[in-house]
Amino acid sequence: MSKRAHAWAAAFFLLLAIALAACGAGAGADSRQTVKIAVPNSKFIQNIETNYYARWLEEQSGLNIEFVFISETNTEEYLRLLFSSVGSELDAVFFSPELYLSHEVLQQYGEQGYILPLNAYVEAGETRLSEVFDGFHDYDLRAAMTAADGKLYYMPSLNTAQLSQNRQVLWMNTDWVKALGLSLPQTTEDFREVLEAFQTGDPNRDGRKNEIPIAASAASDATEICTFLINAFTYYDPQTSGLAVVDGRVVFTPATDEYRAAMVYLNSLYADGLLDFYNFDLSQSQFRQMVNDPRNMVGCFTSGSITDVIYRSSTDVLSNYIHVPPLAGPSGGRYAQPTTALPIPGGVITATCQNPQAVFRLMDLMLSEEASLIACYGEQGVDWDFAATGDIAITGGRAVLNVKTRLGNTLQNKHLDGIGPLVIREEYADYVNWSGMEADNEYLNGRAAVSYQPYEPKENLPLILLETENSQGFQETRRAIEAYGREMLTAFVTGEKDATSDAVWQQFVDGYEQLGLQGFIGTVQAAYDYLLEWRETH
Amino acid sequence: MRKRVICAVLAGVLLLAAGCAPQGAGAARHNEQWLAGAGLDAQETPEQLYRAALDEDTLIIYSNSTRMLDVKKTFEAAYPGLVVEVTDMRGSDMLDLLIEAHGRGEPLCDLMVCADNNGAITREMIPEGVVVKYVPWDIEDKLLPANNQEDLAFFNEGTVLYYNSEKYREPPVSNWWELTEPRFYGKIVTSSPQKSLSMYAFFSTLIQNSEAMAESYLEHFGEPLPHPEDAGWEFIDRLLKNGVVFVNSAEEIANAVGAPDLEDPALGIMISSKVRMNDIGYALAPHYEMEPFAGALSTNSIMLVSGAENVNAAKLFVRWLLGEADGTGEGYHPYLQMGEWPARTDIESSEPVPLAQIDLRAPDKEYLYSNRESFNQRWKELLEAAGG
Repeated sequence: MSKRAHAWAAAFFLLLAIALAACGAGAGADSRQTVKIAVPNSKFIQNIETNYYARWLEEQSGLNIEFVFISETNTEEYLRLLFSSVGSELDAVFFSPELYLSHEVLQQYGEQGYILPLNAYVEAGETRLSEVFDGFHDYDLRAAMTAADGKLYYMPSLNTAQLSQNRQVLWMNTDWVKALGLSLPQTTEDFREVLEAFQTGDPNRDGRKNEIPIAASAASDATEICTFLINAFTYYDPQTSGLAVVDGRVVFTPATDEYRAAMVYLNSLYADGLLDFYNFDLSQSQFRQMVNDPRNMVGCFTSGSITDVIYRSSTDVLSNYIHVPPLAGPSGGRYAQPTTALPIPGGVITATCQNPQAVFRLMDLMLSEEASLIACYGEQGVDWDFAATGDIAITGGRAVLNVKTRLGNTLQNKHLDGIGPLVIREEYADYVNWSGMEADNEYLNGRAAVSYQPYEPKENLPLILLETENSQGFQETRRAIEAYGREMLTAFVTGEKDATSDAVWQQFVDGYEQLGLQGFIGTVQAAYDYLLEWRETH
Repeated sequence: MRKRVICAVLAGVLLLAAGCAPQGAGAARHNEQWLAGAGLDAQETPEQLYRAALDEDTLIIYSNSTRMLDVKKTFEAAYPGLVVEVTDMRGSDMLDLLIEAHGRGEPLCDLMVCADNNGAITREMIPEGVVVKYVPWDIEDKLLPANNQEDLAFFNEGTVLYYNSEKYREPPVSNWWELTEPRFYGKIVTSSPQKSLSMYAFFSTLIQNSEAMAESYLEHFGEPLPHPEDAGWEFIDRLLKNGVVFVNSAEEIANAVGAPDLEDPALGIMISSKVRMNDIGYALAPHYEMEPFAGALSTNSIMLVSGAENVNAAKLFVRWLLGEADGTGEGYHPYLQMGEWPARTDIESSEPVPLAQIDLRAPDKEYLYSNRESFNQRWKELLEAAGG
């Protein structure tokens, strides 16, 4: 054989070897166990089959993951059928922060045998879930996730970030403020003056009276502005049914004189045409359209994240709005509502699962620090890195992460858009660097959060205490109290009920008593006392 | 057979060469062709540019100034049918992106708005043809010569010290060294020069003027510095050890200094244009009388990006931004506020103190361009030593 023939032969065998190796790799992959996981559809994931995080999970777990998308309509019904159908062959269901089942419903599924309890796996050895339990000090996380039957049915999705999170921020149109030569309001009376100027001054300069001083939507607590304004009079949190803690005692703020003064103030805004309840009936998408209208029609609104309302790509609309710190009321009230880390179900193992041990390990892997960083920020070295000396966080102070590509709320193929078990750790999430863009939503939210924190109440009643309370009739009473509160709020604001009338006010307060307010407070007080005791030992 | 092998080898070499070519001569040729077609010296009227721009695509602008969004709004209203997309980003990121894209022969945008506060625009981007200057023929004679050099600097501002005018009736300090005293521990807020080009230019100006800094040290403390030639760095070192607070942006500095209802406002070193936040109720006031000088001059440039696809719209936009030929155009309004001085001789500034009366030192572009790395290195060392 000539030298050339030798060379060709060598090249041929080399290629053959490479091809065989490639086939071998494929065969190896095929021999892996396949798990079938149902996930909510996300418009922000390009292709789940090639997704970076999904591939990373396969490599780390040694499993083939086959994703099945959950229908976006009739979700609960769909999931019920999914769990109950024989031979669905599903091994697990992952949830997202937008699509998940309540603790209550999961317990029902557990009791009906559709999903498996995880206690045995957690107790069998060292798990990341146990580490998460041990490292969480706000409350007893394990107890909070445990159903009334003592079983743990889900792996959590938990966001422990606080500095960078907002419950409800007032965003004001600075274009209008400047156009009318106004100042940002600091008090409820300043706020009234600003709204009046917005209404009469043609701040969008189109010669038409089309300005909407306040846009709001009751479809979410964050976009319902009455709550924000009540907090200028007294601390008020609708998520905790109006309960708060003062000097260790659970109190009910809607029954106070300050709340009454807030109702009078809101009604005066309504009477002056500054609060339009037509707007409050808007759906979230109608509300968003109104704020994003290129005619620049809205003076202010409230939301958690500014991009919950203004489209991330609308930089010119985003640049119009600035956060306004909580307003001060006439009696010195000035409160911000704090955030509480709340576990929501991230994933469950179905009763039809062939290898629950392996699926548990996969979900447990998703709670690891490395997985969480990918799940939040994408690929290290490409999308993010650890920050260098001198990098400054969006919340001020030293940055821990240098996020190069913001992947949130945008089409990407690096993570699963918050789907599945996940722990967003405050030590990272609160200390992300700034991208350098003024309209960077995380930066806008971070700055707002920093300005709101000084106004949070000294003591915080964690929402979890109400969410996981299982005593007889508690949740029914809670729902009744909240519904009554909403109904009466509207009645006071619109003037259907007169808050200045002592008789009407007494009737309002009595209404709560008739719903079992004292028993309700007593139950929450007991839970809060237990929490304080637990904190002393943890 | 041999010929075929040689041909294959040659083809491979040519392919390789072609792969490398856009970085060099090919790109230069492409630039020259684009430049020849761009007609930067043509005496076009706004109407002619508008008609031609209507056949073009969306005008893309990279800007470190959010007010460019206001200019966009009035421009689009004045010229219906034209659409502008403004991408707001940090100056240093923008320059890196454009230089890198130019190397690939891909203009990312049509216009670039950025201050030349690290010297990259005048020392690298213009000489290498990454960006080119366009000055409308009927506006050129109305520009201050200092603003119409290698680049077109369309307005002036300064990096100076600000205080809260509600807390202090008059400027609380008059010498930069006062900021290193314990009474101001943790009370000075600014941006990091590692992130902000205007702060890099400011601190570099202090370093370059070490002699003057040493004199004002002697004047304030009554004794000379042991190493007067290093007075600028000595000031930085002491400032860092005095708990200077770094925030991300000038807006955050303005918040810490002049936001309404502050219990304990800080002093802040920032670009003067942010004093416009007084329009929404802030109480920001400048220290224009400082020893040894008030601060550093900062100018913002608008430049055409070589290879820009929408040249006519870009030229029309530059005219609009400069206030058109007679200076009355609405496009210049966002840059005629307190803390700013126009680049035109025929337009009055809203700022009551004339620029000539403030001792703002113009940063040395060559120094800025040549010393970025060594500056960052020493800055990091001092920052770490100060526990930052």
